Amino acid sequence: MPEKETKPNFIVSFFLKLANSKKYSDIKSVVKDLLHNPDNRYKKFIDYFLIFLIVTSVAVFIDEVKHKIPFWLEIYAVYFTSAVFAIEYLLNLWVYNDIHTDIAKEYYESNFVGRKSKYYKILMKSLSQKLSYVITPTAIIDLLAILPAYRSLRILKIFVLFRFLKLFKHTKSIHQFFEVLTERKFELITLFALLIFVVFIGGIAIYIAEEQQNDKINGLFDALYWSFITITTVGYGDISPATDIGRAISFVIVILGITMISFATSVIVSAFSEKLNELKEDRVAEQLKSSNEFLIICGYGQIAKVFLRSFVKESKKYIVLDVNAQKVQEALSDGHDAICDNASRYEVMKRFYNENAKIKVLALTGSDIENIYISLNAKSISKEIEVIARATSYKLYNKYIRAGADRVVLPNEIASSMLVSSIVHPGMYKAINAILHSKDVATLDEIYISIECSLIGKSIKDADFNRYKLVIFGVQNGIKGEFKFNPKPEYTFQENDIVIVMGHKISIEYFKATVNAGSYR
Amino acid sequence: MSYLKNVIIFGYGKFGNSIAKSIRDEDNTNVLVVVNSDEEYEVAVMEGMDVRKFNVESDASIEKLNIEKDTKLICAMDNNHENLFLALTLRGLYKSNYIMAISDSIHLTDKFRMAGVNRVIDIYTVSGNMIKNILKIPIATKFLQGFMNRSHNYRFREITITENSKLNGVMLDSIDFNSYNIIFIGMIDKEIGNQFIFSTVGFNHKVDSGDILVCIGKDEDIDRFEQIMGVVL
Repeated sequence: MPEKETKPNFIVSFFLKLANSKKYSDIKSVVKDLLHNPDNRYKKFIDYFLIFLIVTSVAVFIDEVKHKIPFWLEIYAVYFTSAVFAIEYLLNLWVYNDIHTDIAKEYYESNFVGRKSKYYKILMKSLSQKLSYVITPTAIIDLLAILPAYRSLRILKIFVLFRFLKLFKHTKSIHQFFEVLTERKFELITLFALLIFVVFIGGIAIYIAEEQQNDKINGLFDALYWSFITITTVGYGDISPATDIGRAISFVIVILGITMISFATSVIVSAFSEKLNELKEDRVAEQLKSSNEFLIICGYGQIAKVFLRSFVKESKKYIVLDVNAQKVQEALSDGHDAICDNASRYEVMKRFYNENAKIKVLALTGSDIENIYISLNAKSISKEIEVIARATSYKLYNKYIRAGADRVVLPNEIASSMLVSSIVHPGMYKAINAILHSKDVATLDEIYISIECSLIGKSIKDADFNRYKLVIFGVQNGIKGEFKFNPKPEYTFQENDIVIVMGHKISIEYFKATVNAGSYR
Repeated sequence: MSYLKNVIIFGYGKFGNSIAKSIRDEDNTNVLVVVNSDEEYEVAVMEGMDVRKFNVESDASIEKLNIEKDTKLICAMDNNHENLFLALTLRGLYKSNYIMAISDSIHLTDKFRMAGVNRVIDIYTVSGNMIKNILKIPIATKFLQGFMNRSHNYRFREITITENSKLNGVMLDSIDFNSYNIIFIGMIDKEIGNQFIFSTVGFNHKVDSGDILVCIGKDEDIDRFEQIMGVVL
């Protein structure tokens, strides 16, 4: 028979309150994001701050070994930094899991089915999860890094080293180094086990052979010490074999040592060379994501090449993605940042996503299927990503639009209509061709009327575009978004208006500088 | 039959098809399509084109077309090798004709130029530039594209100044284009040659008969301007 609904006790009520508090969950998710999300724009500042604290406090501790440090410096290096690290440690512990949601879940579930609640069991489970965090190497290092604050015990001063170890967490390159080593864990552990085994074999062998004849070997520890120093090819020379058997053991130990060092080196080097491209790509992706606006060019074909030839002058950030390694190599040789990957894969596109950046994707591969997939992929990550896609035929135009492409470029149609225009309307062709190819004399530009622009409140007549030899094609109204062709001289400019003008490049630049206006994009 | 001042399009594939249809839709233009495959021939016939089918590699067959000096020739065959061979043949046979071609590779563009083609439209160059413009000046690019694909009501118009026009002998700065809701873009001055001069260079020039003014605006506004100025041919 189901039990009657139980009234939550004080502690359970507290957890239920937390579980129902949106503010609490928002704060917790913000803190978690700040501490653990590498894409969070503020995380890098927190990392820089902690790195600064680590480096400066360690420098103070080192200086303190021989010199007396001023009181304020002691306060800073010992108490302030330790307090910050303690807060960081506690925050990490806090966000690691959610005890309140586990308890609340248990409360609702037990009441729903009418069974006796098992709060104690759930609490223990949640606490054991917290404990599992506490015993992770990162958490242990974090905890030990706080200890130099308790400097009454001299031995605790050695824990200053753990502050340096904290750098692993906040310095990406060191972190990556250990990631690479972790990937070769099996080989390295095997090698390490072999090293221990050989050290012991060699140590025991020299101990048995020379314990009586060699006055430097006074016990097994001395023998193991000699074995280790010899096998690592360090060879201090404080202990050396005194008998022929001992020297023979040295031969074997040295050969094994060299073999193992070579093997370890090759394992590490091969792990790095395999990872090198990935590491480079990660760096490129990180740099790209840190900018406010960038382009992802998918497909390094003829259009991309022509486009990039003029686009590089804009000094804006971009990356080329292509599945074909040869094309990627070509892009790299042409001086572009390029990665060999498939842009139609969700994870690939997501790797470059930064919600605070203005991202534009150019789907320029030779395949419509790929381009449509890339468009969909980009839009599935965020509707804010602007997609410009290349289509081979006008018949596919609607498919591209349905896939979310904001603009569709039809090379065949453009070329055909240009050719037709050149026959039927040669004047128009010459004009449009000159404008589209950015001939200085007929540069077409969009002037954005920002709040600082002196044109706000002025009419076209007052602005006197003729004086600057500029021709106004039209104005996109900043409020309604409507495009007005050839507006009347009485039209008054408002904030956010975009004025399309044609003129000599220098005239436009001069005009923009005079009225304090910017370009639209 | 002669094709004086008209257009001959070689090929009715991915480019030839749309070019032929667009040109045919224009007034006062005759289009002849020449193909060398049965498939293209059938499509062209079905779509009402004036079409001939023969081996375009044969000089004799091309000569039978009796092409006049003013006929514009367009090499729009799907096969690049055939297209280039055709361009060479046409230039060899017709030294003064205006030959155009569409190229789908940078290398082919150079080869067409070497073969003597007067205008090569490189689809990748125009598309690459188009994408750059879409990113840099999106609204303006959409507006310009509208002229070519006729997605808005505004048109480019070339107004040829006639002997009896009110504009004949008038200085450019005295013409108030804005009051007719049209924009003056530039002109082709016959005295200087066929060079297009943009209004943005800030020149003032006496308009003479034979000059061509290039304006944009709605058809009805430009028609009204032409009527008032007496430039309707």
